[in-house]
Amino acid sequence: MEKNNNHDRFFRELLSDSSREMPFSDFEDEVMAEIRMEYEKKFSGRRNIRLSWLFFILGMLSGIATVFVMSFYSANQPFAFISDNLLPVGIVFICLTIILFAEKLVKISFRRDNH
Amino acid sequence: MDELYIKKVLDGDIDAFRYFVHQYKDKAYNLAFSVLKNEFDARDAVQEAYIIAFRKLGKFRGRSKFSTWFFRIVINEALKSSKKAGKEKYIADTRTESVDPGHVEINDIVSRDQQKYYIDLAMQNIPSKEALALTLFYIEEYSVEEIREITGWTESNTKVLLHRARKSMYHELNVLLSTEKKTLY
Repeated sequence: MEKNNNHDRFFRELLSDSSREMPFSDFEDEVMAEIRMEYEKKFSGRRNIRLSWLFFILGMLSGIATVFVMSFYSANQPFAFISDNLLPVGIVFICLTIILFAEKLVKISFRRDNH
Repeated sequence: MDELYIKKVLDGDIDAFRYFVHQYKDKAYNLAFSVLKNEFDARDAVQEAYIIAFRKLGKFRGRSKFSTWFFRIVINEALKSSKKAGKEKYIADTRTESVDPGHVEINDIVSRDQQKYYIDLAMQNIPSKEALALTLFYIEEYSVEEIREITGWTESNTKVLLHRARKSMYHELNVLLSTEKKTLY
């Protein structure tokens, strides 16, 4: 026990002058500049997410509108092949796109480390 | 005080983060330097640690002190860059089994300035984790419990590292001072 105390006393004395200080005078400013960049990146990221949601909703509405228009025209004989062949494919494609993009957007928007 | 500034930063006042930079930069640098043994690498590690702390500040729950949480980030960053650069020092265990403090007669041989030079040199020659343990315990004067919190080491691991670190320092100082003696006489 006493030996340990001797060691401790010896080392405390030995290392008393060994504390270092940050030798770079511009360190604080550099870090704050990096922090500001980080903050701006965070906000531009949020803006991009908002735009992504906007265009996703616009795209989804246009897709639905297109399907309605196509099904309306399918009643006319010259466009009957569209309703029989292309319309089901188009609907499947739009549904898949909506599901995939919605999943990605939800993931990005509600990511916990969005800070 | 820390809590107040954390709240300010989280409310969007990023300039309030300067308080943490100003308050903890020296201690953080001291810890990073003991691991990396190079002032530029230590600065980069501390800078990276501040950016990580800023990013994760929202997740800081206040279960420990901010400084404890932040120094843990600093140490992780320093150890990570040390590993990346392959800097972890390997020292063959040629250290003397038990060297008594009395046998390291540093005061008798060299002046105060030289003493600091030799101690710094010895600290640079011992493995990173041992230097870190010495810095935390003897220079920053943290208790074993606090070191455990900051580093994530177990209590017994901390004690073993401190024991090894003391041995390494005695060994290094003996080697350095015996060279000095030869030069003097």
